[in-house]
Amino acid sequence: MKCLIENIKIQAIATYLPTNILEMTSLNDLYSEKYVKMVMNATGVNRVHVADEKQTASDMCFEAANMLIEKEKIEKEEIDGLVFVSQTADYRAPATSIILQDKLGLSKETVCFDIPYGCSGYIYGIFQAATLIGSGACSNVLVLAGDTTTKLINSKDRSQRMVFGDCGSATMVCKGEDQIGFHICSDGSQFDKVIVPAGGFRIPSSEETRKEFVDSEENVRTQENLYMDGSAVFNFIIKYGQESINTLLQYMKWDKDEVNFYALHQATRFTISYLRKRLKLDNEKAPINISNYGNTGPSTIPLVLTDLGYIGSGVETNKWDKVIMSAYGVGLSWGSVACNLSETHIYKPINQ
Amino acid sequence: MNEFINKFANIFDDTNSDEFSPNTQFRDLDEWSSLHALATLNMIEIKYSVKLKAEEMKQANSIKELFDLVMSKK
Repeated sequence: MKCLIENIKIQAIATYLPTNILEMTSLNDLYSEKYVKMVMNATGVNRVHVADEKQTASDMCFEAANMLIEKEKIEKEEIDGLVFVSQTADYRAPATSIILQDKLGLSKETVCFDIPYGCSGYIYGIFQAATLIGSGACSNVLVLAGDTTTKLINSKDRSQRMVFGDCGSATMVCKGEDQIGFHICSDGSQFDKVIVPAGGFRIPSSEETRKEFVDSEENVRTQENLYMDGSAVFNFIIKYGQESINTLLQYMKWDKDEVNFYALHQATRFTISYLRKRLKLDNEKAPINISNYGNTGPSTIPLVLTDLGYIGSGVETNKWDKVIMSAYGVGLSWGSVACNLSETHIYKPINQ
Repeated sequence: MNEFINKFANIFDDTNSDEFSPNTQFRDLDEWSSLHALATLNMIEIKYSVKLKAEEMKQANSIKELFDLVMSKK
């Protein structure tokens, strides 16, 4: 699906990082120094932020949203749409977005959506907000994207533990003078490449699904933990990540060098570096900031923007009139967004 | 052969270009990881139209052996 939505703007972006930090080198004794070093080399992750035991993705997004509403002096009654993008919702039912409507003190005239996508989620969240505004249905939509992936993985799954971190984000999308281009795709034939196999209705939770097993690479997990086929995902990102960015650039009639910033989903340092090379992108325009945060799922894009381009950072984001965001993840799903962030208020991550 | 070495070296970010020769035992390189292995297979598929499997790649230890393996499949 490709489209251009007009009369819209991305007004502001904020992110929240939980305060607990897991240093990868602290796993030296548990996993062996050699293994830790090798993985850190490839992933580029030195440390991740980990949500508290009782802190959920919605709690983290709530903090980011609150800060945004306050800083932007938004009248809460003017918010008429809320989109919560996460794979780690508060409950199976009801939708977490409605709980957030109440917690944030928004009007009952707000329409709320939960979008259960992971790493590609931010693209979907912005798309949902854009269609709500572009159709005239809403005027101000809050997109809250975040995950507590550290709670979804098994702590003895070495490969995952050294990659994922937690973070929540809030983005305000409103009526405006810009246009946003979208390219979004799906491939359900690869549904099992990134999956939490049990706990849904296909394979209900049972004693069996809670049993730990060891895979061929000495990673321990249960069927209720997140599983990722590393090599399938790598190939998928390199192939489709490239295609999507090229497709959108062509659709927007943008030259790749005209683009001021590429906010790429931070899967691992190696993968993004390789994708960057294949696309022949300037390293400075397509930065990698995974070292302090890990792969934070649907919030990696707002996190790279807030981490590096916050008000006061000295970065001239007023020149960011052509920005490409691109993400790929569970589903498998992937997509890209072409937008203007030159007037967007980008706030420093809470607890950076 | 040289072209292959260049394309292989390009997968690495931190390793000196003079460390790449036909006899380089690539798995001993400091930077080597399982992701580099995936990128190598990806490069071979895209640039040489050869779909090598991970188990097949395990047969090669030096860059030259890898090159020979790829050529034998063309």
